[in-house]
Amino acid sequence: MATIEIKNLKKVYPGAKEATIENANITIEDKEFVVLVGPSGCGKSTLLRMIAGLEEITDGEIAIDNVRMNELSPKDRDIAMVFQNYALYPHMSVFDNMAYSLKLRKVPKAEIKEIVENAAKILDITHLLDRKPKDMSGGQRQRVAIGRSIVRNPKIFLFDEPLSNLDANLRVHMRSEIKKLHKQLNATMVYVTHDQIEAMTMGDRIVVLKDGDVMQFDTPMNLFNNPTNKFVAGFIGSPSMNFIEGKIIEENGITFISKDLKFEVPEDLKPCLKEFIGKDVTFGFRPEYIYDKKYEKIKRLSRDMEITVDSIEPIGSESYIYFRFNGNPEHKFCFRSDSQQQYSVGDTFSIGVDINRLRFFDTTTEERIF
Amino acid sequence: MKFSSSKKEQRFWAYLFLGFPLLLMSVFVFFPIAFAFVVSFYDWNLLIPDKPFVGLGNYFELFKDEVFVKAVKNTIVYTMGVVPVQTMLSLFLAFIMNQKIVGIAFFRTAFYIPAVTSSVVTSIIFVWIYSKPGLLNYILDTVGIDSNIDWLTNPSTVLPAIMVLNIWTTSGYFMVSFLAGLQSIPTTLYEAAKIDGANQWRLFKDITVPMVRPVTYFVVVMSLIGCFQVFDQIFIMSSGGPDNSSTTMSYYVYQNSFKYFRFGLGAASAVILALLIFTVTAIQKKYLPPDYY
Repeated sequence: MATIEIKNLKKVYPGAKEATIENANITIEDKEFVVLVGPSGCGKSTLLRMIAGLEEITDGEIAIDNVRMNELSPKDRDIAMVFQNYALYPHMSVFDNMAYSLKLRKVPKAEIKEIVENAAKILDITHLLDRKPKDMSGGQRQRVAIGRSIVRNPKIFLFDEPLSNLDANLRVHMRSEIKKLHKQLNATMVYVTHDQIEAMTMGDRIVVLKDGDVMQFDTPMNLFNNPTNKFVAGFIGSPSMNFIEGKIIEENGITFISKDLKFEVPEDLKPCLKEFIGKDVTFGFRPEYIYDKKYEKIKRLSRDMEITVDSIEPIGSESYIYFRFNGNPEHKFCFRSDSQQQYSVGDTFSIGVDINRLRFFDTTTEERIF
Repeated sequence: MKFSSSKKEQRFWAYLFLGFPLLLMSVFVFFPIAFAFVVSFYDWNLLIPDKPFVGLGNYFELFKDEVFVKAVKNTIVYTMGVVPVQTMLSLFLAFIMNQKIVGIAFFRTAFYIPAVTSSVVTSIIFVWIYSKPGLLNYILDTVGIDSNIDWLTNPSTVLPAIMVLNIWTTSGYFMVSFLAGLQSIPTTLYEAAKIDGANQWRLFKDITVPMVRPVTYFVVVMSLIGCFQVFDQIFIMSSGGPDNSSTTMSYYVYQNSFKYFRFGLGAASAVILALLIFTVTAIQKKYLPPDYY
C-alpha cells in the first residue's frame, strides 16, 4: 500500500527568478504506474527528486500513505530510485551494489545473500554478481540498478529517465521488462521520461508538465484523444497533431476560416463554437484521423479538403504524407497513410477528418474548446 | 626533405621533437644517475687525486656508520609521521573546501598559500616561531603551558617540529589534488547512497574515500618521495642537529658529498635512498593500487 499525495507543491531554486515547479497537485494511487513527461526543463526530474527527498520543497506538501514527507531524509521515505546514469558504485561488485542498502540496515548476511540472489534471478543477472560495473554493458548496468532498487522491497519505485542511455532496441526491450516488473512487484512506480512514446506505452496515467505547471494528469488514451489544451495535444502523439490558426465566422451557419482552408463546422461542433464567433481559434487534427475520401467510405468525415502532396516518408508499415492545403503553400501538415496506397509528390486529392476527432482550441488561452 | 611515406615523415618529426629534450635529460638526469651509481663503487674524494675502486666498500662502510643508521631511522620516522597525517589532513581539508560555505574562496587561497611560498622563507619563519622566545612558546605560555625550550635545538623535539612544518606547507598542495578528485565524483552516487540509507559518515567512508583512491595513490607516492628526499627544511632549520637527531638521508648525502667531499660514500648513500624509494613505491603499487574506475 503506497499512495503519493502532492499538494500545492512549489520549487524555486536559490537565485532563480521563476519557479521550477508551480502549484502541483497530483494524487498517485496505490500500485499505479505514473509517468511524468514533458520537454527538457519542464521540472519533471525536479518533481521526482522532491518525492525522493533529494531536493528541498519550497512550499506545499508531499505525503506518502498520508504521512508528510517534507522533513524526512531520503532513507526514511521507504523509496528506491533508479538513475539515468545508473549511479552504480563503481568500486563495488554487482552483489555488493545490490547488498549495500541491506548491509546499512544490518540485515543478517545469509538473508542478504538470499534476497540479492532472488532479485538477480528475477532480472536474469545471476551470472553478473561478481562483476564490477565497468565490465558490463549499458543494459546490464541498468538491470543491476533496477536490482539494487528491488532488494529492499520499498513502497515506491522512482525512475529518472532510466532508459535514455540505451540504444533503441534495448530501450524497447527494457520498457516491457519494467512493465513486467511492475506487475510482478505490485508496487507504486513513478517514472520520468521526455519520450512521449515511452510515457504512452508504460504509464497507467501520465502527468504532462510544461514550464513547471501540470498541464494534464490522465490516462494515455485520454491524453491522446481528449487533450485539455494545445500543448498536450501537440506533445502527445507522433507525428504530432496538425494545427491551423484561424477564426470562427458566421457564414452558412458557423465556418472556420484561415489562410490554409475554409470549411463549414460540422453540426456536432456548432453549439460549442457559437460563442467563439469573431474570435481566434486553432483547429487541430491528428495525422491518424485524416482519411483519403476516395478510400474511406464508412467513417463520418468532414467535408472535402483539397490537398497537394509535398513529400512522402515511407516507414514500412505505413507512410507519412506531408501535404499542404491549396490556400497556403508555406504551411505543411502530415497524415499517416496505409503503405498499400500509393501516392506521389504533387498528387492532388480530397481528404476528410473524422468528425469525432476534430479539435478546436482557444488561440489566446490555448484551452480546448471541443 | 622528401619522405617515401607519410608514416616515415611522422616518425622523423616525432623523433626530432623527442630528441632535444631527450638530449637535455641525458646530460642532466640520466648520465648523473648512472655516474653516481659508478662513483658509489670508488673511493672518490675531491681532495685526493687517487680514486681507487673499492667495490661494495662504501656500502659496507655506510652500514657501519652510526650517523647513516640514524639518518635512515630519522628518514623512516619522518616519512611515517608526515605521510599519513599529510594525506588525511589534505583529504579532510579538501572535503571541507568542497562544501558550500561562505567565503570558501578565501579559505582555499589561505590553505594553498604555503604551497606556493618558498620553503626557505617558511623555514626561516618557523625557525623564529620555534625559538626559545618565539611564537610557539608564547602561545603555550598564554594558554598556561609552561614551555621554555628551543624546539629546534632539543633532540627530542627537533624532528617532530620540522615534520609539523612540512605537513603544514604541503597539505595545501595535496588538498588541491584531492579537491579535483572530489569534484569529479558524480553527485548521483551520493544521492543513490543516501536513498540506500547511508549517513554522512558512511557517505564519506563508502563513496568519497574509495572514489578518490587514484588521487590518494598519487598523493601518497608524491608525499613518500618528498619525505624521503627532505632536505631544505633540515638544512635551514637544524643542519641535521643536534647530535644528528634530525639528519635525514638526503642531508647525509649532502654532508658527505659537499661538506667532506667524499663523493663515493655520498653516491652510495644516494643509491640506497633511491632503492628505498623504489621499493616502497613498488610495494604500494602492488598492495594499494590506484584502481581507476
